[in-house]
Amino acid sequence: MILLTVAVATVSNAQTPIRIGGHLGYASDIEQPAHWVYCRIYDQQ
Amino acid sequence: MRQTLNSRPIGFIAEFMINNKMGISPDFTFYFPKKNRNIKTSWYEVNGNFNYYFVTEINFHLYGLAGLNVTNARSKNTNNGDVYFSNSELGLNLGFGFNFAAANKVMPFSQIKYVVSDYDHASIIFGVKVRVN
Repeated sequence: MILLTVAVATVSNAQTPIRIGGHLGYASDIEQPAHWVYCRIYDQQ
Repeated sequence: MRQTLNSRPIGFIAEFMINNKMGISPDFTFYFPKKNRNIKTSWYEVNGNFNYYFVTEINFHLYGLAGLNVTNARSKNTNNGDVYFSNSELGLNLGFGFNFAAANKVMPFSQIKYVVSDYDHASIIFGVKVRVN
């Protein structure tokens, strides 16, 4: 509750913009570490 | 051995402007899980970026970003619930973004970045930022 009060006070007193938001997107070519790949190979045996 | 895959992220973002050129932008992103046979893999990432605004026109902003990225990946067997691994890696974000209708309280934005880490990837996101003060 104290933290929330401090946060609200900080936001309402801030002289510069504070923005919040949400997003969707697309990520390509996420590299898989070696141990991840080995897990899959092990599982398929 | 190197393998890659693609996924779709969804997340929350905030931006605390320090002045009219610089801002701090924390971001949490969750990736929709991928399933390969009976192995389900999921990720989330936590980012802390520094944004520097190169262009601040009334209706358009262009900024560059750099910051830290922590990505957690988790892989589990959906048949028996066994967790094969859960692993976090620290990385570096580099990219740039655009704010549109920048004078409005509700501001669409787009951001493109590359993450340099053990979970290297490029991403593009589209969303909306709302000014709260």
